[in-house]
Amino acid sequence: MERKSHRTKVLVFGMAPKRGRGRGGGGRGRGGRGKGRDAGPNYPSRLLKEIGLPLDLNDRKRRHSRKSGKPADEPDSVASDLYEYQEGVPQEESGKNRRFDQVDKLEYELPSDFEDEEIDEGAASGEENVGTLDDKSLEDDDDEDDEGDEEEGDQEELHDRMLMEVTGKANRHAKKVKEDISYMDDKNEEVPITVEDLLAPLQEKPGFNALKKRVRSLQKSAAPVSVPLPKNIQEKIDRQAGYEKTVEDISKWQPIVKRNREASTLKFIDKVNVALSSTTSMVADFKPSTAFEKEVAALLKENGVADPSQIEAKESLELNKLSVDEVRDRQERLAKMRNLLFRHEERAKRVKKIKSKTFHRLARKSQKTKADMLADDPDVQLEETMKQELNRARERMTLKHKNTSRWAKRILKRGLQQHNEGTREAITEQLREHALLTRKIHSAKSESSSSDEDEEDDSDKDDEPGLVLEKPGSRVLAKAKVATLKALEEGTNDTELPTTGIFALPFMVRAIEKKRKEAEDEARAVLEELESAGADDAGPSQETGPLKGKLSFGGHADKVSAMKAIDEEDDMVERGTDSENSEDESPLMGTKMLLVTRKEKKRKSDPVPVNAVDIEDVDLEGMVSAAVEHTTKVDEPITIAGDKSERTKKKKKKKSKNKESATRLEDAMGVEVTKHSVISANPTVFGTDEVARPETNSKSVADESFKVAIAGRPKDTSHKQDKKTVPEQENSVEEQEEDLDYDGDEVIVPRSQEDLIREAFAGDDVEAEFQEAKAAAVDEECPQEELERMDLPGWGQWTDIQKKRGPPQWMLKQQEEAKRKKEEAEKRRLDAKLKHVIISQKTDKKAAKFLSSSLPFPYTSREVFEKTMRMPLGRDYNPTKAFQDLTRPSIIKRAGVIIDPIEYEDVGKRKRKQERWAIASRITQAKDSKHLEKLWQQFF
Amino acid sequence: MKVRVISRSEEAFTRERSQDVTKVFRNLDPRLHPMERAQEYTRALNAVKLDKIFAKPFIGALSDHRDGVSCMAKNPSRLNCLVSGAMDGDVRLWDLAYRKTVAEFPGHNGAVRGVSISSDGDFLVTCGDDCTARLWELPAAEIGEVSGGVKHCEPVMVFQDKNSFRAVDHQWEKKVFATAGANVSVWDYNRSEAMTSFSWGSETVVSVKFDPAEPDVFVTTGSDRSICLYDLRMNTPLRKLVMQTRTNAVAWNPREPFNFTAANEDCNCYTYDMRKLKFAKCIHKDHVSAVMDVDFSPTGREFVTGSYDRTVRIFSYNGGHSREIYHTKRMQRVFSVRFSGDATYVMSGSDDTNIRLWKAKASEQLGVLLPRERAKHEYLDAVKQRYKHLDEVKRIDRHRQLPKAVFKAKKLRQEMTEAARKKESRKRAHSAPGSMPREAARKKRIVAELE
Repeated sequence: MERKSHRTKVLVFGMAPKRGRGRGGGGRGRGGRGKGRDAGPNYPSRLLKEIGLPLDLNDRKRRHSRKSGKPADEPDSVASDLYEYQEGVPQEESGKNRRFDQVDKLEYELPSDFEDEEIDEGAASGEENVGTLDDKSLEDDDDEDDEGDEEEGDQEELHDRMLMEVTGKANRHAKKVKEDISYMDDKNEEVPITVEDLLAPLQEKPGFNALKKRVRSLQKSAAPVSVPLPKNIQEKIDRQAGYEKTVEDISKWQPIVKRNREASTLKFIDKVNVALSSTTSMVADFKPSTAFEKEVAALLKENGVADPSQIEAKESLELNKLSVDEVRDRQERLAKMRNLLFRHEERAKRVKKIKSKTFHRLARKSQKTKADMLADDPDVQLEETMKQELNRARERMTLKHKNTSRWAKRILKRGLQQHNEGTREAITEQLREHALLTRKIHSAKSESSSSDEDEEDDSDKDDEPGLVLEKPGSRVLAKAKVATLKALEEGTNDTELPTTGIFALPFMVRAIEKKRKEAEDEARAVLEELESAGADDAGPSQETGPLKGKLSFGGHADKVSAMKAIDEEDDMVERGTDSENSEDESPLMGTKMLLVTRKEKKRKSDPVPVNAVDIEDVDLEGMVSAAVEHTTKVDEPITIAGDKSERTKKKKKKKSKNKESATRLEDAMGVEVTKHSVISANPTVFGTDEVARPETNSKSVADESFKVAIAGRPKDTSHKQDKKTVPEQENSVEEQEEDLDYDGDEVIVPRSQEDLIREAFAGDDVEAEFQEAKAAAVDEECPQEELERMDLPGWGQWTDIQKKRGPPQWMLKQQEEAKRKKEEAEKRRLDAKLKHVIISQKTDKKAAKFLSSSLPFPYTSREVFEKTMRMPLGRDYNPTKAFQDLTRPSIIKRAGVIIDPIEYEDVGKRKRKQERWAIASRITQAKDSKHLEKLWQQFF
Repeated sequence: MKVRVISRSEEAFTRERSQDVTKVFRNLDPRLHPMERAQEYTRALNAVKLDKIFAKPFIGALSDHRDGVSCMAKNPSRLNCLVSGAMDGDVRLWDLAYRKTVAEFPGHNGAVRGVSISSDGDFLVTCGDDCTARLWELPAAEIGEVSGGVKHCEPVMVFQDKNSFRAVDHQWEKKVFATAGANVSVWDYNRSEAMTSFSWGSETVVSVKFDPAEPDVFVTTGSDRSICLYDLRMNTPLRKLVMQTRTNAVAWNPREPFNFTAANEDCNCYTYDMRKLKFAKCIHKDHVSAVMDVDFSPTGREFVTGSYDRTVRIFSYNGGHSREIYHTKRMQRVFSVRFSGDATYVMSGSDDTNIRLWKAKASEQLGVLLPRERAKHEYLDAVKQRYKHLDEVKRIDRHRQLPKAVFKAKKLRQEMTEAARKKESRKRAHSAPGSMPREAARKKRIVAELE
């Protein structure tokens, strides 16, 4: 009941807006296509008469006046005219139309004589009748009223439906008139009757309060409606609103249009599904038609094999038969497996719970040994090696351990010293790993090449764990010896000198000779050294055994700092004396340079063949530079004990040669220092080192701090000082190479590049040559005009006078003109002002036809345009698929297939639909309940 | 010296039937094809030349009318069906395949100004100067050549109005049509009086066209130089665009529902986005006289225009200039043009009482194509497309033989525009900077956008 009454309210009071919408003929609201048009306002007038509606349904003013409840004395209001006429009716008769007793009527029930037809009967006085209706609608006894309303509502509905059937429009007339009641009262009474007056008799009735509230709220909300706008302005507003709405609506096509425009190909061929989609559908749709088919079908049905799925089921049933034993076996097996699995799991859980690291390490080890035991099997071994190879390859690919990671870089940048023990260790570990992995590759490569290298590899393998390069081994020494001898022989034999190029220049020849001689000397020294080394191999070298060859970075800060202090002192001294030297030698630079130059030299001019395997530059450099960076950060020059002799020599040289870049010159001259001398990264330090540092100190540095000590080289230098250290050095160098060059300790002060170049190209006039070449090129590209030659026999020789005058004026002029033109052309060239550049501006006339004269419209850059032209399209240059893709036309249509206008499809909607389908299919497959829940959530 | 070797032709020993095609083995190694660009360029050049040779667009004429053809309508659901109306009140249904009249629709006194077929292809509405619009039922399609002579149809319904009609068009997929005349009215088949009638201003409306994709929206053009948009759902005009010269016809792009192209008296066509009427999206220039009619290809990528300069042109939907021009010696002023439903043909109705049938692509090979043939054509098209910017290819591709009058008029127009440009630039040079703001050509012809 409550709901019903509510509905009534809507009928009575909520009429205005509703009607407004309907009335505008879809002016504001917007139903489906064409609906708005159906509700349009233009009735045929004949029809209007018939159904008794006022002719001017569109009259907004009247509607407004009614809505606002204004007194109806407005002259333009049709409704008010009607009431004015009614004013003249005597009071006695007023009962007929119940104008005055409407309030009383409110209490009453619906008059029994009331019928809907009244409206039709009195078309002209329809409003009155409806007015009675309205009275009833205002009745507000809770129960009775609701009943009445219901009834009345039904009637109204019936009436509306009828009207609708007749006119095709909702009946608004009847409803509209209901509202006239409020000002009808105002009109007829001298003393204005307020709503309160009307409500007064109802005070005792139940539900009065609710009614009162409603009325009050209505009174509050009822604001006066402004004067309707002039027609043209109203229309304009309508148009504006309509345009906005339509534009908004039609913009829904935008994405579709965009997509179509951007599509490389538009297809306008409807797919005609001629064939059946699949064999199963064919089978499903099959119906036996001929007699034969029917017979076959009957037979099949008889035997129960009509359905292919049945056949399958039957077959599988037959095949699935198992004996009791088999079943039992199977069950047992399964149970066992399950049991095992369970136990394994339990054990794994238990082990995982143990927090001890040692335990885990041991466990891992034991597992490994187990695996090793297994590895006796050659197959397993092979597999293992393969795995390792793979690891190494991977390492090679990633170079993960090369300190290239961001972390490592940051650490290095900040300096190893800044970090704690753990970090340093980690870095060291990385380096070690890298060495291990890469070395193996190296050895694996050389394995196949020669037996000598095989031996090396063996030694390498020995060394592998921990990278402790233990003994240099006499083997190595012997090898070095042989190599040196060989080199010596070769050196003497191989005396041919270059006859052309810069090396043929006399001073170069001399230099080469000199170098060779030096090398020979060195080689001899090496031999001697080797012999001597062989002799004292057992002694001193073993002293330092375990620590040799070990890489340790920034080990003990205290000692290092002590060293540093000393070095810095030296530095200061040296700087004071030799500023030039100290300037150009940053320790880091020095070492790096050295490494490179050393290697280069080895390749170029070293007469001693290096039998150590060549190591890739990149790896080596990266490695060493990383290492060096660390060390130099710690500020210690990389020193190797046992170089004292060299040092002294050098020192002496230095002194003798005053201040001017002594070291550089030494190098330039190819002094014995060059290759094998071991110089500290900071040569200035080096100079005073000998004096300041006791031998024990240097040794300790080598041992304990971060130095790279080279295996096999005796550290005790005292007895070697008289001898030449060179051979041993050579040896060590070779070994370093084998051991991936852990050094980085040798420093040679490099000659500057400029000096080198100047020396090398002393007598070479490249520039002049280049200028010539340029002039020739320019001449070729800007040729002088062909003119009549003046030196032809007979020209200007006709007469004596002419001869005297020389060539005629016009000819000279012409010549000048040509010259001027040529010069201008030359000036215009791109390389006119560039002394050392030739820019060819030749154009190929034959190729010109393949070039567009200007950049075509849609392209904005030449590069893009040229790119589009690059790829050929034809069958001869492309595989079939690419050919088809490249030549597909932008519109595919067939003659005879009608292309309908575009139809709207919501792209986003389709996508959403597809997504939902995907989720649905996943739901059907999902087993995990949690997952399932999630999927359902996604689905909704 | 002649070396004799054993050689076998593959065809000789692998072919079983005469139709068998031997497989061509290709080596795609780019090193083997150093001259690929030169080769393809040459192919493009040859293809363009061949296009010129095969460019024979005129298929035939339908010539039963006794007076100038004023309007045409294609059947949206049948390809071979065309209806045309003539100035003498003659309305004919044509079978395009046989180029014959299938039926006549007698009844109009005075010129027929508009014909339109409903989208289901069953009904025809004609209207004309006799203040009537007539609804006809189209005879069912026949397979094969028409037998039994020309049918004479009776109108299903006659709609009477006080003023003469100038144009008619059907709403897509509804039994509703709109007529243009003194005002714009929307009619239902079942009602003798117009459902709605719009008027905005007092000038005659000369053409009306429904948007095929958005069926409630339609556009009219009026003799007050206006283009006016309407929406049936709003039951109100939406906006009016006034240009400097009259627009004779409009066509909606069937693939881009908010774009339409207007054929203007000033020899140009203007493509507008109905959402942005401040400027034209594109100006299509090339005609040398008023453009009388325009119709979009159903692919939405091209449209055809007919002009008072006796030519038919085909434009790209976003192209400033026409890609094709069709003319014959005997073709007079073109009053109506239509693209066929499969975007392959173009029809033009002209003052010389003929309807002419053209190929939309002048050098297209008609008929069934073998797959290899089609691939070949596609390849040549692609190659042409690629090298179309190169001078030689461009020159040949763009060359068209023009009627003398058109050629001269074109020259004249060029001169005039050049002179105007020069004059303006001089004026600009001699006036204070900023006092002569430059006006975009796409806005220049628009007088006002009325709300």
